[in-house]
Amino acid sequence: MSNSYTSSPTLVDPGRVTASRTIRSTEISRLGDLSNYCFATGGTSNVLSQAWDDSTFRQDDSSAFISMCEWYIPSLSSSHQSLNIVLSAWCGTAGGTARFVLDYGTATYTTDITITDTSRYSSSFNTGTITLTSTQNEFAAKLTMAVKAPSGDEVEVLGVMANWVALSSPLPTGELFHTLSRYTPQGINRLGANLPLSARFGVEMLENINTLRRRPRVLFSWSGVEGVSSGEAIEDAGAVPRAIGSGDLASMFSESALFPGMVEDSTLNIFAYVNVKQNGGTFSSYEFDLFGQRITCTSTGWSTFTLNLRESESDRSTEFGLSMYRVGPDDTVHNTERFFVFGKDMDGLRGVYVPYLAGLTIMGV
Amino acid sequence: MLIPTAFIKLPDESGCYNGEVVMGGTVSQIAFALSQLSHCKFLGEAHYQVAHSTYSGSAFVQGTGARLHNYNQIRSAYKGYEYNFLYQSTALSSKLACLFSYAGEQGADDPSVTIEVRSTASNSYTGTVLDYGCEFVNLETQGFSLAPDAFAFTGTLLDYEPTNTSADLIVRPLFIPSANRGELLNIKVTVQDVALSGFHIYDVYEVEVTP
Repeated sequence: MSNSYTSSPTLVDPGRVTASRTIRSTEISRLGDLSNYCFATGGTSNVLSQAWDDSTFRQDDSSAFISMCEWYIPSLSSSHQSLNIVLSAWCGTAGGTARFVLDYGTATYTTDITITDTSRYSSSFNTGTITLTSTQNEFAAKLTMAVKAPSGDEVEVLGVMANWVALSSPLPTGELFHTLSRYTPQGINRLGANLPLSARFGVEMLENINTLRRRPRVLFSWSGVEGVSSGEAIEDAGAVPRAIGSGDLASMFSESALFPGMVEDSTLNIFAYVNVKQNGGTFSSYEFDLFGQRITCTSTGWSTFTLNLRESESDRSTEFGLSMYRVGPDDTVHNTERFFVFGKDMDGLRGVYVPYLAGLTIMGV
Repeated sequence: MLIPTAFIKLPDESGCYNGEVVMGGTVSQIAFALSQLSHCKFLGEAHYQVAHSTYSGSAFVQGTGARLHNYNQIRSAYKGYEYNFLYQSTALSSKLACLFSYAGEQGADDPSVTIEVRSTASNSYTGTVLDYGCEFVNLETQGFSLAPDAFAFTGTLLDYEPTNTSADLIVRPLFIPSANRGELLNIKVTVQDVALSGFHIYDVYEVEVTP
Protein backbone atom coordinates (compact mmCIF):
# COMPACT_ATOMS: atom_id res chain seq x y z
CA MET A 1 0.00 0.00 0.00
CA SER A 2 2.27 2.75 -1.25
CA ASN A 3 1.44 6.36 -0.38
CA SER A 4 3.13 7.48 -3.55
CA TYR A 5 2.70 10.58 -5.67
CA THR A 6 3.64 11.78 -9.11
CA SER A 7 5.57 14.95 -9.83
CA SER A 8 4.50 16.87 -11.86
CA PRO A 9 1.08 16.14 -10.46
CA THR A 10 -1.66 14.51 -12.48
CA LEU A 11 -5.09 16.04 -12.63
CA VAL A 12 -8.36 14.22 -13.15
CA ASP A 13 -10.31 14.59 -16.35
CA PRO A 14 -13.13 16.96 -15.33
CA GLY A 15 -15.35 15.43 -17.96
CA ARG A 16 -15.24 12.15 -16.05
CA VAL A 17 -16.37 13.43 -12.67
CA THR A 18 -19.62 15.10 -13.55
CA ALA A 19 -23.11 14.01 -12.71
CA SER A 20 -24.40 10.90 -14.49
CA ARG A 21 -20.90 9.60 -15.35
CA THR A 22 -19.58 6.39 -13.90
CA ILE A 23 -16.78 6.94 -11.39
CA ARG A 24 -13.66 5.30 -12.79
CA SER A 25 -10.78 4.07 -10.67
CA THR A 26 -8.45 6.21 -12.81
CA GLU A 27 -9.95 9.39 -11.39
CA ILE A 28 -9.99 8.10 -7.83
CA SER A 29 -6.37 7.00 -8.09
CA ARG A 30 -5.36 10.38 -9.46
CA LEU A 31 -7.13 12.15 -6.61
CA GLY A 32 -5.15 10.13 -4.10
CA ASP A 33 -1.94 10.83 -5.99
CA LEU A 34 -2.65 14.57 -6.18
CA SER A 35 -3.52 14.73 -2.51
CA ASN A 36 -0.22 13.07 -1.57
CA TYR A 37 1.64 15.46 -3.91
CA CYS A 38 0.08 18.47 -2.19
CA PHE A 39 1.00 17.23 1.26
CA ALA A 40 4.58 16.41 0.28
CA THR A 41 5.43 19.53 -1.73
CA GLY A 42 2.92 22.24 -0.83
CA GLY A 43 4.64 25.29 0.65
CA THR A 44 8.20 24.07 0.04
CA SER A 45 9.12 27.19 -1.90
CA ASN A 46 10.86 30.05 -0.05
CA VAL A 47 9.66 30.57 3.53
CA LEU A 48 12.33 33.19 4.12
CA SER A 49 13.80 35.64 1.60
CA GLN A 50 15.72 38.80 2.40
CA ALA A 51 18.56 40.73 0.78
CA TRP A 52 20.94 43.53 1.67
CA ASP A 53 22.87 45.80 -0.57
CA ASP A 54 26.64 45.95 -0.31
CA SER A 55 28.34 47.58 2.67
CA THR A 56 25.26 47.47 4.86
CA PHE A 57 25.12 44.15 6.75
CA ARG A 58 28.59 43.87 8.27
CA GLN A 59 30.12 42.12 11.26
CA ASP A 60 33.73 42.37 12.41
CA ASP A 61 33.49 40.78 15.86
CA SER A 62 35.60 37.63 15.97
CA SER A 63 35.22 36.88 19.66
CA ALA A 64 31.70 35.42 19.59
CA PHE A 65 28.61 34.90 17.47
CA ILE A 66 26.62 38.12 17.41
CA SER A 67 22.86 37.59 17.13
CA MET A 68 21.70 39.84 14.29
CA CYS A 69 18.37 38.78 12.70
CA GLU A 70 15.17 36.99 13.71
CA TRP A 71 12.31 35.68 11.61
CA TYR A 72 9.29 33.48 12.12
CA ILE A 73 8.80 30.75 9.56
CA PRO A 74 5.77 28.49 9.18
CA SER A 75 5.69 24.79 9.86
CA LEU A 76 4.30 22.73 6.99
CA SER A 77 3.64 19.54 8.95
CA SER A 78 5.20 17.43 11.64
CA SER A 79 6.71 15.33 8.85
CA HIS A 80 8.62 18.15 7.14
CA GLN A 81 11.77 17.99 9.20
CA SER A 82 14.54 19.36 6.98
CA LEU A 83 14.98 23.10 6.67
CA ASN A 84 17.35 24.16 3.92
CA ILE A 85 19.12 27.49 4.49
CA VAL A 86 21.01 29.33 1.76
CA LEU A 87 23.35 32.18 2.59
CA SER A 88 24.91 34.70 0.21
CA ALA A 89 27.80 36.33 2.02
CA TRP A 90 31.50 37.03 1.68
CA CYS A 91 34.56 37.60 3.78
CA GLY A 92 38.06 38.48 2.61
CA THR A 93 39.63 35.99 5.00
CA ALA A 94 38.66 32.36 5.59
CA GLY A 95 36.76 31.64 8.76
CA GLY A 96 33.63 33.79 8.57
CA THR A 97 30.65 31.86 9.90
CA ALA A 98 26.90 32.32 10.23
CA ARG A 99 24.97 30.38 12.85
CA PHE A 100 21.27 29.66 12.40
CA VAL A 101 19.23 28.62 15.41
CA LEU A 102 15.71 27.30 15.02
CA ASP A 103 13.50 27.49 18.11
CA TYR A 104 10.74 25.06 17.31
CA GLY A 105 8.33 24.03 20.04
CA THR A 106 10.32 22.62 22.90
CA ALA A 107 13.42 21.96 20.84
CA THR A 108 16.30 24.07 19.58
CA TYR A 109 18.36 23.20 16.52
CA THR A 110 21.53 24.80 15.23
CA THR A 111 23.54 24.76 12.04
CA ASP A 112 26.70 26.69 11.23
CA ILE A 113 27.44 27.82 7.70
CA THR A 114 31.02 28.61 6.75
CA ILE A 115 31.35 31.48 4.31
CA THR A 116 33.63 30.73 1.38
CA ASP A 117 33.29 33.67 -1.00
CA THR A 118 36.04 36.27 -0.71
CA SER A 119 34.29 39.10 -2.55
CA ARG A 120 30.75 40.11 -3.44
CA TYR A 121 29.06 37.28 -5.41
CA SER A 122 32.51 36.09 -6.49
CA SER A 123 31.80 32.38 -6.79
CA SER A 124 29.21 30.51 -4.77
CA PHE A 125 26.65 30.72 -2.00
CA ASN A 126 26.77 28.50 1.07
CA THR A 127 24.13 26.20 2.45
CA GLY A 128 23.18 24.47 5.67
CA THR A 129 20.43 22.14 6.75
CA ILE A 130 18.58 21.94 10.03
CA THR A 131 17.20 18.46 10.56
CA LEU A 132 14.57 18.06 13.25
CA THR A 133 15.07 15.05 15.44
CA SER A 134 11.82 15.18 17.35
CA THR A 135 8.23 15.63 16.25
CA GLN A 136 6.87 19.12 16.83
CA ASN A 137 3.37 20.32 16.13
CA GLU A 138 3.84 24.07 16.34
CA PHE A 139 2.35 26.41 13.76
CA ALA A 140 5.60 28.34 13.33
CA ALA A 141 9.20 28.46 14.50
CA LYS A 142 11.65 31.25 15.20
CA LEU A 143 14.86 31.34 13.18
CA THR A 144 17.79 33.42 14.42
CA MET A 145 20.93 34.29 12.51
CA ALA A 146 24.18 35.10 14.30
CA VAL A 147 27.44 35.99 12.63
CA LYS A 148 31.09 35.70 13.66
CA ALA A 149 33.95 37.21 11.69
CA PRO A 150 37.47 35.85 11.39
CA SER A 151 40.11 37.74 13.30
CA GLY A 152 41.05 40.95 11.54
CA ASP A 153 38.36 40.89 8.87
CA GLU A 154 34.66 41.52 8.33
CA VAL A 155 31.77 39.37 7.13
CA GLU A 156 29.27 40.93 4.75
CA VAL A 157 25.87 39.29 4.29
CA LEU A 158 24.09 39.85 0.97
CA GLY A 159 21.08 37.58 1.23
CA VAL A 160 19.43 34.67 2.95
CA MET A 161 16.68 32.29 1.96
CA ALA A 162 15.22 29.15 3.47
CA ASN A 163 12.79 26.46 2.45
CA TRP A 164 11.46 23.23 3.86
CA VAL A 165 12.59 20.19 1.89
CA ALA A 166 9.71 18.42 0.18
CA LEU A 167 8.91 14.89 1.32
CA SER A 168 9.90 12.20 -1.11
CA SER A 169 7.47 9.67 -2.52
CA PRO A 170 6.04 7.57 -0.96
CA LEU A 171 4.80 9.43 2.11
CA PRO A 172 5.26 7.85 5.53
CA THR A 173 2.57 5.46 6.67
CA GLY A 174 0.01 6.36 9.29
CA GLU A 175 -1.70 9.61 10.13
CA LEU A 176 0.31 12.81 9.69
CA PHE A 177 -0.36 16.17 11.31
CA HIS A 178 -0.08 19.89 10.96
CA THR A 179 -0.72 21.32 14.43
CA LEU A 180 -4.02 19.60 15.26
CA SER A 181 -5.13 19.02 11.68
CA ARG A 182 -4.84 15.47 10.46
CA TYR A 183 -3.74 14.23 7.07
CA THR A 184 -4.15 10.60 6.04
CA PRO A 185 -1.89 9.58 3.15
CA GLN A 186 -3.66 7.75 0.38
CA GLY A 187 -2.39 4.30 -0.50
CA ILE A 188 -2.53 4.31 -4.27
CA ASN A 189 -2.69 0.50 -4.44
CA ARG A 190 -5.95 0.67 -2.48
CA LEU A 191 -7.55 2.78 -5.17
CA GLY A 192 -7.26 0.29 -8.00
CA ALA A 193 -10.09 -1.04 -10.14
CA ASN A 194 -10.17 -4.37 -8.34
CA LEU A 195 -10.93 -2.87 -4.93
CA PRO A 196 -14.08 -1.29 -3.54
CA LEU A 197 -14.40 2.49 -3.29
CA SER A 198 -14.85 2.78 0.43
CA ALA A 199 -16.45 5.51 2.51
CA ARG A 200 -13.00 5.94 4.04
CA PHE A 201 -11.65 7.48 0.85
CA GLY A 202 -14.23 10.25 0.62
CA VAL A 203 -14.17 11.11 4.31
CA GLU A 204 -10.38 11.21 4.47
CA MET A 205 -10.07 13.24 1.29
CA LEU A 206 -12.33 15.94 2.68
CA GLU A 207 -10.35 16.05 5.90
CA ASN A 208 -7.08 16.11 3.95
CA ILE A 209 -8.24 19.03 1.82
CA ASN A 210 -9.20 21.00 4.92
CA THR A 211 -5.82 20.26 6.49
CA LEU A 212 -3.97 21.42 3.38
CA ARG A 213 -6.07 24.56 3.09
CA ARG A 214 -4.85 25.56 6.56
CA ARG A 215 -1.18 25.09 5.67
CA PRO A 216 0.41 28.55 5.91
CA ARG A 217 2.27 30.45 3.20
CA VAL A 218 4.70 33.31 3.83
CA LEU A 219 3.31 36.51 2.39
CA PHE A 220 5.80 38.96 3.89
CA SER A 221 8.98 38.49 5.88
CA TRP A 222 11.48 41.03 7.12
CA SER A 223 13.98 41.37 9.92
CA GLY A 224 15.99 44.35 11.03
CA VAL A 225 19.68 43.80 11.73
CA GLU A 226 21.05 44.33 15.23
CA GLY A 227 24.61 44.40 16.41
CA VAL A 228 26.16 45.44 13.13
CA SER A 229 29.81 46.38 13.42
CA SER A 230 32.34 47.54 10.87
CA GLY A 231 35.79 49.04 10.94
CA GLU A 232 34.79 51.43 8.20
CA ALA A 233 33.20 54.84 8.71
CA ILE A 234 29.43 54.79 9.01
CA GLU A 235 28.98 56.62 5.72
CA ASP A 236 30.82 53.76 4.00
CA ALA A 237 29.52 50.66 5.75
CA GLY A 238 27.28 49.36 8.48
CA ALA A 239 24.30 51.72 8.28
CA VAL A 240 21.94 48.78 7.92
CA PRO A 241 18.21 49.11 8.67
CA ARG A 242 17.34 48.02 12.19
CA ALA A 243 13.74 49.14 11.98
CA ILE A 244 11.06 49.60 9.36
CA GLY A 245 11.21 53.32 8.62
CA SER A 246 8.78 55.83 7.24
CA GLY A 247 10.72 55.85 3.97
CA ASP A 248 9.95 52.15 3.53
CA LEU A 249 6.20 52.47 3.50
CA ALA A 250 5.74 53.21 -0.20
CA SER A 251 7.45 50.02 -1.30
CA MET A 252 8.04 47.63 1.59
CA PHE A 253 5.22 45.19 0.99
CA SER A 254 4.45 42.08 -0.98
CA GLU A 255 1.74 41.60 -3.51
CA SER A 256 0.38 38.19 -2.65
CA ALA A 257 -2.62 36.12 -3.56
CA LEU A 258 -5.32 35.39 -1.02
CA PHE A 259 -8.12 33.16 -2.09
CA PRO A 260 -11.88 33.74 -2.10
CA GLY A 261 -13.63 31.51 0.39
CA MET A 262 -11.25 32.36 3.23
CA VAL A 263 -13.71 34.66 4.91
CA GLU A 264 -16.41 31.97 5.05
CA ASP A 265 -14.12 29.51 6.85
CA SER A 266 -13.10 30.53 10.36
CA THR A 267 -10.13 28.14 10.29
CA LEU A 268 -8.48 29.98 7.38
CA ASN A 269 -6.63 32.96 8.77
CA ILE A 270 -3.86 35.46 8.28
CA PHE A 271 -1.29 35.69 11.05
CA ALA A 272 1.19 38.44 11.81
CA TYR A 273 4.31 37.87 13.89
CA VAL A 274 5.52 41.24 15.13
CA ASN A 275 8.85 41.98 16.82
CA VAL A 276 8.92 45.27 18.70
CA LYS A 277 12.09 46.43 20.40
CA GLN A 278 12.75 49.09 22.98
CA ASN A 279 16.27 49.06 24.29
CA GLY A 280 15.70 50.82 27.60
CA GLY A 281 13.25 52.86 29.66
CA THR A 282 9.65 51.87 30.33
CA PHE A 283 7.65 50.39 27.47
CA SER A 284 3.98 51.28 27.37
CA SER A 285 2.56 50.09 24.04
CA TYR A 286 3.24 50.28 20.32
CA GLU A 287 0.54 50.78 17.71
CA PHE A 288 0.83 50.61 13.96
CA ASP A 289 -1.34 49.90 10.94
CA LEU A 290 -1.01 46.54 9.29
CA PHE A 291 -3.10 45.10 6.48
CA GLY A 292 -5.92 47.52 7.16
CA GLN A 293 -5.96 47.05 10.92
CA ARG A 294 -4.41 48.88 13.85
CA ILE A 295 -2.19 46.53 15.80
CA THR A 296 -1.39 47.21 19.44
CA CYS A 297 1.65 45.51 20.90
CA THR A 298 1.54 45.55 24.69
CA SER A 299 4.96 44.09 25.25
CA THR A 300 8.33 44.09 23.55
CA GLY A 301 9.60 41.03 21.72
CA TRP A 302 7.52 38.85 19.44
CA SER A 303 3.72 39.04 19.50
CA THR A 304 1.20 37.21 17.32
CA PHE A 305 -1.95 38.67 15.82
CA THR A 306 -4.77 37.26 13.71
CA LEU A 307 -5.68 39.59 10.88
CA ASN A 308 -8.95 39.92 9.01
CA LEU A 309 -9.15 40.25 5.26
CA ARG A 310 -10.50 43.80 4.97
CA GLU A 311 -8.37 45.23 2.20
CA SER A 312 -9.35 45.67 -1.42
CA GLU A 313 -7.62 43.70 -4.13
CA SER A 314 -4.65 45.31 -5.84
CA ASP A 315 -4.80 46.51 -9.43
CA ARG A 316 -2.49 43.69 -10.49
CA SER A 317 -5.11 41.00 -9.79
CA THR A 318 -6.15 40.97 -13.42
CA GLU A 319 -2.62 40.32 -14.64
CA PHE A 320 -2.03 37.50 -12.17
CA GLY A 321 -5.52 36.05 -12.61
CA LEU A 322 -5.67 35.85 -8.82
CA SER A 323 -6.97 38.00 -5.99
CA MET A 324 -3.80 39.93 -5.13
CA TYR A 325 -3.40 42.06 -2.02
CA ARG A 326 -0.85 44.51 -0.72
CA VAL A 327 0.60 42.73 2.31
CA GLY A 328 2.81 44.66 4.70
CA PRO A 329 2.79 47.76 6.88
CA ASP A 330 0.19 50.21 5.60
CA ASP A 331 1.23 53.51 4.05
CA THR A 332 -0.79 55.61 6.48
CA VAL A 333 -0.14 58.89 8.25
CA HIS A 334 -0.11 57.03 11.55
CA ASN A 335 2.63 54.70 10.35
CA THR A 336 4.60 57.55 8.78
CA GLU A 337 4.73 59.23 12.18
CA ARG A 338 5.28 56.00 14.11
CA PHE A 339 8.10 54.77 11.88
CA PHE A 340 9.96 58.08 11.75
CA VAL A 341 12.55 56.89 14.23
CA PHE A 342 16.19 57.97 14.40
CA GLY A 343 19.05 55.68 15.27
CA LYS A 344 20.04 57.74 18.27
CA ASP A 345 16.52 57.43 19.67
CA MET A 346 16.59 53.64 19.31
CA ASP A 347 19.70 53.68 21.48
CA GLY A 348 18.41 56.28 23.93
CA LEU A 349 21.28 58.62 23.18
CA ARG A 350 19.07 61.65 23.63
CA GLY A 351 17.69 60.54 26.96
CA VAL A 352 14.59 58.70 25.72
CA TYR A 353 14.34 55.21 24.28
CA VAL A 354 11.94 54.99 21.35
CA PRO A 355 10.28 51.65 20.43
CA TYR A 356 10.65 50.42 16.89
CA LEU A 357 9.43 47.65 14.61
CA ALA A 358 12.37 45.25 14.32
CA GLY A 359 10.76 42.32 12.58
CA LEU A 360 7.58 41.32 10.82
CA THR A 361 6.36 38.09 9.27
CA ILE A 362 2.89 37.71 7.75
CA MET A 363 1.53 34.28 6.92
CA GLY A 364 -1.65 33.49 5.09
CA VAL A 365 -3.28 30.32 3.85
CA MET B 1 -9.25 21.43 -16.63
CA LEU B 2 -10.14 24.86 -15.30
CA ILE B 3 -8.25 25.56 -12.08
CA PRO B 4 -10.38 27.34 -9.48
CA THR B 5 -8.80 30.12 -7.46
CA ALA B 6 -11.24 29.97 -4.57
CA PHE B 7 -11.54 27.66 -1.60
CA ILE B 8 -14.82 26.31 -2.88
CA LYS B 9 -17.28 24.80 -0.45
CA LEU B 10 -16.67 21.10 0.03
CA PRO B 11 -19.41 18.47 -0.14
CA ASP B 12 -20.95 17.14 3.02
CA GLU B 13 -18.95 14.27 4.44
CA SER B 14 -22.07 12.17 4.92
CA GLY B 15 -22.42 12.01 1.14
CA CYS B 16 -19.46 9.62 1.14
CA TYR B 17 -20.77 7.28 3.84
CA ASN B 18 -21.50 3.60 3.33
CA GLY B 19 -24.93 3.06 1.90
CA GLU B 20 -24.94 6.40 0.07
CA VAL B 21 -24.82 6.66 -3.68
CA VAL B 22 -21.70 8.73 -4.36
CA MET B 23 -22.73 11.47 -6.75
CA GLY B 24 -20.59 12.83 -9.57
CA GLY B 25 -20.81 16.26 -7.99
CA THR B 26 -19.13 15.01 -4.82
CA VAL B 27 -16.13 13.64 -6.69
CA SER B 28 -16.05 16.74 -8.88
CA GLN B 29 -15.86 19.03 -5.86
CA ILE B 30 -13.00 17.00 -4.41
CA ALA B 31 -11.19 17.10 -7.74
CA PHE B 32 -11.50 20.87 -8.12
CA ALA B 33 -10.56 21.52 -4.49
CA LEU B 34 -7.37 19.48 -4.91
CA SER B 35 -6.47 21.16 -8.19
CA GLN B 36 -6.89 24.54 -6.48
CA LEU B 37 -4.32 23.43 -3.89
CA SER B 38 -1.77 21.96 -6.29
CA HIS B 39 -2.06 24.46 -9.14
CA CYS B 40 -2.98 27.65 -7.32
CA LYS B 41 -2.44 27.86 -3.57
CA PHE B 42 0.85 25.94 -3.52
CA LEU B 43 2.46 27.72 -6.44
CA GLY B 44 5.81 29.05 -5.33
CA GLU B 45 6.57 32.65 -4.46
CA ALA B 46 9.44 34.58 -2.90
CA HIS B 47 9.42 38.12 -1.59
CA TYR B 48 12.82 39.78 -1.19
CA GLN B 49 13.03 43.14 0.55
CA VAL B 50 16.39 44.69 -0.37
CA ALA B 51 17.92 46.81 2.37
CA HIS B 52 20.11 49.80 1.67
CA SER B 53 22.32 52.00 3.75
CA THR B 54 20.32 54.30 6.01
CA TYR B 55 23.14 56.80 6.14
CA SER B 56 22.20 60.33 5.20
CA GLY B 57 23.57 63.79 5.70
CA SER B 58 21.93 64.06 9.11
CA ALA B 59 23.27 60.72 10.35
CA PHE B 60 25.96 62.28 12.53
CA VAL B 61 23.27 64.13 14.43
CA GLN B 62 20.41 61.64 14.26
CA GLY B 63 22.11 58.27 13.88
CA THR B 64 21.28 55.54 11.38
CA GLY B 65 19.03 52.49 11.49
CA ALA B 66 15.86 53.24 9.54
CA ARG B 67 15.10 54.42 6.05
CA LEU B 68 13.34 57.70 6.66
CA HIS B 69 13.39 59.05 3.11
CA ASN B 70 14.06 57.81 -0.36
CA TYR B 71 17.18 59.81 -1.07
CA ASN B 72 20.78 58.69 -0.82
CA GLN B 73 19.99 55.28 -2.24
CA ILE B 74 21.53 55.65 -5.66
CA ARG B 75 25.24 55.11 -5.59
CA SER B 76 27.76 55.36 -8.38
CA ALA B 77 28.46 51.63 -7.97
CA TYR B 78 24.98 50.80 -9.28
CA LYS B 79 26.20 50.69 -12.86
CA GLY B 80 26.32 47.16 -14.19
CA TYR B 81 25.72 45.90 -10.67
CA GLU B 82 24.42 42.40 -10.06
CA TYR B 83 22.17 40.75 -7.52
CA ASN B 84 21.38 37.06 -7.17
CA PHE B 85 17.97 36.14 -5.77
CA LEU B 86 17.64 32.45 -4.97
CA TYR B 87 14.31 30.81 -5.57
CA GLN B 88 13.19 27.31 -4.66
CA SER B 89 11.01 26.43 -7.62
CA THR B 90 8.25 23.83 -7.73
CA ALA B 91 7.35 21.12 -10.21
CA LEU B 92 4.90 23.62 -11.69
CA SER B 93 7.41 26.50 -12.08
CA SER B 94 7.26 26.63 -15.85
CA LYS B 95 7.10 30.43 -15.94
CA LEU B 96 8.28 32.90 -13.33
CA ALA B 97 6.80 36.38 -13.10
CA CYS B 98 8.97 39.03 -11.47
CA LEU B 99 7.80 42.24 -9.84
CA PHE B 100 10.26 44.74 -8.42
CA SER B 101 10.33 48.11 -6.77
CA TYR B 102 13.16 50.46 -7.52
CA ALA B 103 14.49 53.98 -7.58
CA GLY B 104 16.06 55.17 -10.84
CA GLU B 105 18.90 57.63 -10.51
CA GLN B 106 17.80 61.20 -10.92
CA GLY B 107 18.94 62.49 -14.31
CA ALA B 108 20.21 59.12 -15.53
CA ASP B 109 20.04 58.63 -19.28
CA ASP B 110 18.60 55.13 -19.47
CA PRO B 111 18.13 53.25 -16.19
CA SER B 112 17.63 49.57 -16.90
CA VAL B 113 17.23 46.21 -15.18
CA THR B 114 18.08 42.86 -16.78
CA ILE B 115 16.80 39.59 -15.35
CA GLU B 116 17.85 36.09 -16.27
CA VAL B 117 17.62 32.70 -14.61
CA ARG B 118 20.51 30.32 -13.97
CA SER B 119 20.92 26.88 -12.52
CA THR B 120 22.68 26.61 -9.16
CA ALA B 121 24.80 23.52 -9.74
CA SER B 122 27.66 23.40 -7.21
CA ASN B 123 26.07 26.37 -5.44
CA SER B 124 27.50 28.61 -8.13
CA TYR B 125 26.23 32.06 -9.03
CA THR B 126 27.45 31.48 -12.58
CA GLY B 127 25.59 28.27 -13.39
CA THR B 128 24.13 27.47 -16.80
CA VAL B 129 21.81 30.13 -18.14
CA LEU B 130 18.34 28.58 -18.35
CA ASP B 131 16.71 31.65 -19.85
CA TYR B 132 18.46 34.86 -20.90
CA GLY B 133 15.31 36.63 -19.83
CA CYS B 134 14.55 40.22 -20.60
CA GLU B 135 15.66 43.77 -20.05
CA PHE B 136 13.56 46.59 -18.70
CA VAL B 137 14.84 49.70 -20.45
CA ASN B 138 14.26 53.38 -19.92
CA LEU B 139 12.88 52.90 -16.44
CA GLU B 140 11.50 55.81 -14.48
CA THR B 141 13.92 58.13 -12.78
CA GLN B 142 13.31 59.98 -9.59
CA GLY B 143 11.74 63.27 -10.50
CA PHE B 144 12.64 64.70 -7.10
CA SER B 145 14.78 63.46 -4.28
CA LEU B 146 11.93 62.32 -2.04
CA ALA B 147 10.02 60.51 -4.79
CA PRO B 148 8.62 57.13 -3.79
CA ASP B 149 9.92 53.96 -5.42
CA ALA B 150 8.49 52.88 -8.76
CA PHE B 151 7.38 49.36 -9.70
CA ALA B 152 7.99 47.23 -12.78
CA PHE B 153 6.50 43.87 -13.68
CA THR B 154 7.25 41.20 -16.24
CA GLY B 155 3.59 40.33 -16.60
CA THR B 156 2.42 36.74 -16.69
CA LEU B 157 1.93 36.12 -20.41
CA LEU B 158 4.35 33.82 -22.22
CA ASP B 159 2.91 31.43 -24.78
CA TYR B 160 6.14 30.24 -26.40
CA GLU B 161 9.43 28.72 -25.34
CA PRO B 162 12.03 31.49 -25.66
CA THR B 163 15.24 30.79 -27.58
CA ASN B 164 16.91 34.19 -27.31
CA THR B 165 20.62 34.16 -26.43
CA SER B 166 20.72 37.63 -24.94
CA ALA B 167 18.19 39.58 -22.94
CA ASP B 168 14.89 40.07 -24.75
CA LEU B 169 13.75 43.67 -25.03
CA ILE B 170 10.16 42.52 -24.83
CA VAL B 171 9.41 42.23 -21.15
CA ARG B 172 8.09 38.78 -20.30
CA PRO B 173 8.15 36.12 -17.56
CA LEU B 174 11.18 33.86 -17.27
CA PHE B 175 10.90 30.39 -18.74
CA ILE B 176 12.09 27.35 -16.77
CA PRO B 177 12.93 24.19 -18.75
CA SER B 178 11.07 21.14 -17.50
CA ALA B 179 14.30 19.47 -16.34
CA ASN B 180 14.98 22.31 -13.92
CA ARG B 181 11.55 22.70 -12.36
CA GLY B 182 11.67 21.93 -8.67
CA GLU B 183 15.32 22.98 -8.38
CA LEU B 184 16.88 25.87 -6.53
CA LEU B 185 17.20 28.61 -9.17
CA ASN B 186 19.20 31.80 -9.30
CA ILE B 187 17.41 34.86 -10.62
CA LYS B 188 20.31 37.05 -11.63
CA VAL B 189 19.47 40.73 -11.83
CA THR B 190 21.76 43.36 -13.33
CA VAL B 191 20.94 47.01 -12.75
CA GLN B 192 22.09 50.21 -14.46
CA ASP B 193 21.51 53.40 -12.46
CA VAL B 194 18.86 51.68 -10.44
CA ALA B 195 18.55 50.73 -6.78
CA LEU B 196 16.25 47.81 -6.06
CA SER B 197 14.21 47.95 -2.88
CA GLY B 198 12.14 44.82 -3.43
CA PHE B 199 12.18 41.82 -5.74
CA HIS B 200 9.27 39.39 -5.87
CA ILE B 201 9.17 36.07 -7.75
CA TYR B 202 6.02 34.10 -8.58
CA ASP B 203 5.09 30.86 -10.26
CA VAL B 204 2.56 31.87 -12.88
CA TYR B 205 -0.97 30.68 -12.32
CA GLU B 206 -2.51 28.98 -15.36
CA VAL B 207 -6.26 29.22 -15.69
CA GLU B 208 -6.57 25.98 -17.62
CA VAL B 209 -4.36 22.90 -17.44
CA THR B 210 -4.60 19.82 -19.61
CA PRO B 211 -4.97 16.70 -17.41
